[in-house]
Amino acid sequence: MKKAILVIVGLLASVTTFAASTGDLTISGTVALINDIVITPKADSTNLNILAGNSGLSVADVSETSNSVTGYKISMRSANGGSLVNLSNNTKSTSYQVSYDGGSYVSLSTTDQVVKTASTSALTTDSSDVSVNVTANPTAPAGTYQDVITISIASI
Amino acid sequence: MLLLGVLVSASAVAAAGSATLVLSGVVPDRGYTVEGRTITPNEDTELKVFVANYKQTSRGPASEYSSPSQWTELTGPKNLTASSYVRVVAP
Repeated sequence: MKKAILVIVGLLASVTTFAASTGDLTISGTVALINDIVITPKADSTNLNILAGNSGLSVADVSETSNSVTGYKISMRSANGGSLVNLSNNTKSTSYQVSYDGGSYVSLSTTDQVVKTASTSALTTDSSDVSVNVTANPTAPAGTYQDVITISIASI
Repeated sequence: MLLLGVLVSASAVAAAGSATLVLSGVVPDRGYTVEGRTITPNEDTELKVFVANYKQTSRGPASEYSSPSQWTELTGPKNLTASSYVRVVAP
């Protein structure tokens, strides 16, 4: 009986010693991911010259805000695959190309196309210009020719 | 690990922003222009455009060319001059 009590006391002493020797406390905070984009159209964006065309016409400013630790990318896509289409007759159209932030002029498709990548080390806001080259269509029939460009920002 | 991957992916998509930019231009509905310009029938117009040389008479140009046979129907661009007279009719 005395031996059993000694064994139990010994075990308790051992456990107590182990629990007191070290412990971890986890502390943390979270910064929410920000990827925001704001488009400010210019008057020329809805006053394109379908008959004579446009060259290097600035149509909008885009404000990009991101705090992504891996940087961010800007993508563009076109509802009409890079064409301005007559709203009354969609078989009548003229093509255009777009330049983002001074980059090369590209033809857009209906799927996202990356037009800019940027690295970020902190919350960053940058402004980019959108310019277009519109192909002249001197025999275009009357009507309004339109396309909708979707510009997106996402983490790389 | 799989669950964590899904959550990270969903979070990135939700945070991505997008916006739209509308581009447009207008071609005026104009079957003809004035002297010194070019007349071009619209491709889709249902109107027929005729042109004849204007000759001023005491009765005026309309009666001078009242006969349709004296008008030439335009099928393409034509430069107008001071002596041009344009008539647009519905077929």
